[in-house]
Order: sequence, then structure tokens, then C-alpha cells
Amino acid sequence: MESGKKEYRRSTIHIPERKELAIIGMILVALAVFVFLSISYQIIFIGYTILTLFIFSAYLIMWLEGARTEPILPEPKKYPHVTVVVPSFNTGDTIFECLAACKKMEYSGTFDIIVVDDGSTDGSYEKLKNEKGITLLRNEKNRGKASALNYAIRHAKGEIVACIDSDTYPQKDALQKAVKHFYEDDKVASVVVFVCVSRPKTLLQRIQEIEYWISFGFFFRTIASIDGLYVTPGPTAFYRKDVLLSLGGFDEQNLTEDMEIALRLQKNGYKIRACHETQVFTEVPATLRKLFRQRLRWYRGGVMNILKYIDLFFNPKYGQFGLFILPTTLGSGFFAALFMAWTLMSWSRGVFDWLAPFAANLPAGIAAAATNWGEGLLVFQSSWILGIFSLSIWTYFLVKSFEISNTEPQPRHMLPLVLLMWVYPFFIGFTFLMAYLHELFGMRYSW
Amino acid sequence: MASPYLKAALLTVALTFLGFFFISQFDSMRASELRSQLDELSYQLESERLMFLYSQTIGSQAELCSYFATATESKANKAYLLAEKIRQYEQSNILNAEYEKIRNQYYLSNAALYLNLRLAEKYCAQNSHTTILFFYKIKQSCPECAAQGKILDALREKHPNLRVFAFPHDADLPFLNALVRRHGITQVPALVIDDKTVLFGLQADWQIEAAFDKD
Repeated sequence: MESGKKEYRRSTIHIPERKELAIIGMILVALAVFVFLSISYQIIFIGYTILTLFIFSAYLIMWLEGARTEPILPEPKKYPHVTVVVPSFNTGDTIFECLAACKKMEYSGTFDIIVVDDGSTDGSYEKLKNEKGITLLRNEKNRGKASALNYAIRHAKGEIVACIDSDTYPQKDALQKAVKHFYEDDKVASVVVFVCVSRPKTLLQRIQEIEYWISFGFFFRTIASIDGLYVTPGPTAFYRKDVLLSLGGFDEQNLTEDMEIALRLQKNGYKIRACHETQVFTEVPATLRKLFRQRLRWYRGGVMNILKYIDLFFNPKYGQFGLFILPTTLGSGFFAALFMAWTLMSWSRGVFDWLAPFAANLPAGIAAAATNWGEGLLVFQSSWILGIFSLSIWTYFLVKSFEISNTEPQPRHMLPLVLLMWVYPFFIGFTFLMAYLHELFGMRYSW
Repeated sequence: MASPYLKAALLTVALTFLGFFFISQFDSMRASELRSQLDELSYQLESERLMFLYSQTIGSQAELCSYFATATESKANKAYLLAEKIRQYEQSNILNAEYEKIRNQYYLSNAALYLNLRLAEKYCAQNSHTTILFFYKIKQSCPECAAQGKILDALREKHPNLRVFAFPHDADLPFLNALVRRHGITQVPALVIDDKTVLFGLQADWQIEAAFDKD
């Protein structure tokens, strides 16, 4: 096991890593251009579809063979003391609701709550001073979430620490249900719970609500069933304190410390379990601008951590996690970005084609555009037939995701669902591309 | 450990095969749709030839001319639409190998219809029609050609006695090459109006009308 200090030093981004990234980036861009110029749309589409079909089939079979039934766990011999850790930075508008939900939790053992104020300037620290039933710690300067968590963990009395974001509201039974999973296996060092969207209002939030059901519901449960979780989501995750401390705590230089810690746990042979018997509800960005910012951070963190843990990818030593889960989850982001770049390129060609008649002869261009302008724009491609199979499997995942979240599909889910399927992927692909370019050119990230 | 992935691979192979089976069905369905439209063209062509043969043998020239005068609302008028359809279907096709044949058959029928019309003009001194040869290209994308095609279609509806024959200038068939050489087509889209005026580049409807009013 590595010492914490060493781990910290490794976590900062070094110049050689940037160079490596730049080289990989250049190769991928060159490859994309080559592919775009030399292979037809049909071939790329068919290749992509068959790959997707394989990945979906694999998740389908994992679901059917294991994840479908959650094991009934025996009651643990004792319920250990749990320390709930809530980091806060200018979260005056949500933290009191969060603390109220935390205090309401029912647990057979005992638990205490530590709030770390990370140098808030919105007056929430002063208000928190009056809050009863919590231990309040304070960083004078804002030092980031990971730092705040580490500070709290060093002060935590519990054998288990529950890291809960200040904009996340756990259900009453969150502790009771999640802690059991630590006793499934000696190697379990972390338990994640089902993260859902709290009170979705805007259309964008309603899209994310379904997205969370699919990723944190269906996919997390399936991935956890083969011990492949690659992120312990920031909103709520439980950890064994001694393991966290022995690994050096959270990486304070990382954009997505929740992914980094999960990969570090995996690398050191620990297991991460998922508990879907209880839900936590988290606030999600309401506007596209905010969502873009959030996802840019996620995906930049993803790129950062892929590079940091590149040795785990396709490494048979890490079994299914290294060979299948990492490439198809984190790695597929590269595919998404590549596919997006390619799509943007072909669209720009489409726009050029569309403009050409106007440039050649403006009145004629207008006249032509005025007569059945939509005709021939969308000709059914034979290759789309293959996509129908992937779509069917994905629909099955969707149905299961609704079941996991105990939600009846309603007409109000229709619009967000359609947008999630046909528009949202372009946003995600575009954001990943931007995140990738940001990392490539080494732009500074500001919180 | 390998087992879920092996199963997934088998499932993928099975679904891919099934998918390609449907694709081949779909592709040949479209190809036969095109073939039946080509058959109509050939049928028209055949009956014109027969009429000509009849007039040369046991019939009279007057009968030929009256046939041509009445039966000229030809399928060839929709020529560019069919050409465009062939192009689109060919692009979205994966498994059907017939397209080159379909394309060439279409060019030949179209060319034959055009020559029949010229023949009728020669024998019957019919001059009530305006004929436009429209050259486009097939080897590269040509958005201007597609725009020109739409304009010609609109124009044809406006002028019932207008006939449009569309030919690719880069299909490399002997007859088409001769036609391209005859009119000196070096770039597309190009329009040849009544065998005389040649217009290069995308033309608006009023520009074309101005050109055939000159005749």
C-alpha cells in the first residue's frame, strides 16, 4: 500500500503526462480525419453499431445472470459507529435541509455529523454555528472539497464515514441499508447508494432525472455485481475510514476526487458495493450553462484519471474491471468525442453542401430551396436496421431503470425521454469533446 | 469469467446476422422498386420503337407523327427525380450489387427516349417542344445539380411542352461521352437548350426561360 504523501505527489498533473496526452490527442485527431476521409459513413456506422451491440449485450447478460436479483444480506453482528461528513462551501440555501435529512436518519448503531465549512463567504458558516447536533470544522481559506473531506475524516470517530454533499438529502434508512453491505466481504471498502435527482423542475432536470436512474440505477447495479464500479459518486458514498486513511485520503489535486478514490480502491484490490434499497436525492443543474460546467468538470476529471490510471486499462490483472468496465465506461468517452468530432465534420460538410447552391447563384438557390426543401434530406439508411437491436436492448435497460427507481412510466416522462435519447447525447458528446480539448491544451480549471 | 462475454459475443453475432438478413431484404425491395420504374421507361421506349418500325414498314409517317404528338407525356419527364432516387437508394444501400446495372440501364433508356424524340422532330417537323439536356455528375456530390434538378422540375410543371433529359457527364458510357463531347460539357451543372444554347452553372428559372424564349 502506498503512503498518502506519495499518492498526493503523483496526483498533480506533470508535464510528461500532458505531452503524452497531447500525442495521444494528435494521433486520435489524425485518425479521425483519416477515417472521415477514407471510409464511408455506412462502414463507420455499422462498426460503431456492432460494437455498441456487443457492449449492450454484455451488460444485458450481466444483468440477467446476476444484478437482476439483489442478494438478501444477513444482519451484521454489530452496527458500527458512523460519522457523516458534509463539506460545505457557500451552500447556505441547501445545507440546512441536508442536515435535517441526515439527522432524521434511523440507524441501529450510533452516528455523528461533521460539517466542514470550506471558507464560505455567504454567511452560512455563521448560521451553521447555531446548528445543534453537529460538529463544525472550518477551513479559513477555500481549499476544495477533497481537502475539506480529508480534514473531516481525520477528525471522524466512526469506523465508517458517510460523505454526503451539502445539496443531497438521504432517505431515512440510508445508513441502515448501506452499512450492511460492508460486511458482505472483508475487502469491501466503499458502498455507494442510488443517487436520484431531487425535485426536478426544469426540462433539463427532468432529463437528468431519467439519466440518473439509468446510470446510477441500472448500470451501477450491473457494474457493481461484477465489482467494477469506477466512481463512488460525490453526492453520497460510504467508506471504511481506516482504508481511506491508509490510502492517503482523497486526492486534493483532482477535479473528480470521487472517481479518483474509486480507481485507487480498485487498484489496491478493494471492493465497492452498490446498495439500491435506499435512495439519496441530489440537486442537479437547472440550466444548460450550469450543466455544461458541471459535466466539463466531470469529463475533464475523467480524462485526467484515465491518464493517471491508464495502466489499469486492458490489464488482465484487474479482470473484468480492467478489460471490460473501464474501456466501455470511461474509455467510451473517447469514442463519444471521436464520433462527435466526426459528426461535426460531416455536418459542416452538409452545411457547406446546403450553402453551395446559394453561393453559385443566389436567386436560383432560393428558388430551389423553396421547392420541396425537405425532400431527400433524410433517406432511410439500410444500416439503421442494425441500430434497432441496440435500441431494443437499451429500451430494456430503460424499463429496468424505471423499476429500480420504483417509478411508473408516465406521459410526463415522454418528452424528457425523447430528448434524452436523441438530443442529449449530442450535448454529452460535445461536452466530452470540449473537456478533451481543454485537457489537451492544458487550460486551467477554475471552480 | 469469459462466459458472459462469450454469450454477449454470440448474441451480437446472431443479431448482426439477423440484421443483415433484414438489410438484404430491404435493399432488394428498394432495388426492385427502381427496377419496376425502369421497366416502365423501357416499356415506353419499346412501344415507340415498335411504332417507328410500323411506320417504316406497313404504316405511314402520318401515323407515326400523330403517335408522337399524343404520346409524348413521357416518363422521361420525371427523369431527374428517378436519377435522384437511384442515387439516394444506392448511397443508403449496403448489400445489393445491382445498382451499377440499374444506373446504366437508366442512362441507356433515357438516352434512347431522347433520341426517339429527336427522330420524331426530324421526321415530323414537330417544333412545339422545348428540350433541355441537363448534365450533372455522379462521382462526386453536387449540391448545385440537386438544386438545378428541383428548379427544372418546377419549370416543367409550368411549361407543359418542356422536356428535360438528365444525363451524368462522368458515367463513362460511349453514348454519353459522345453527347458530352458534342456539346462541349466541361463543368456541371450544364443545360443544353434545344440543342443550341449551352448554359454552365446553376441557373434560375427565369434565366432558363430567357434562354428558350430566344429560340
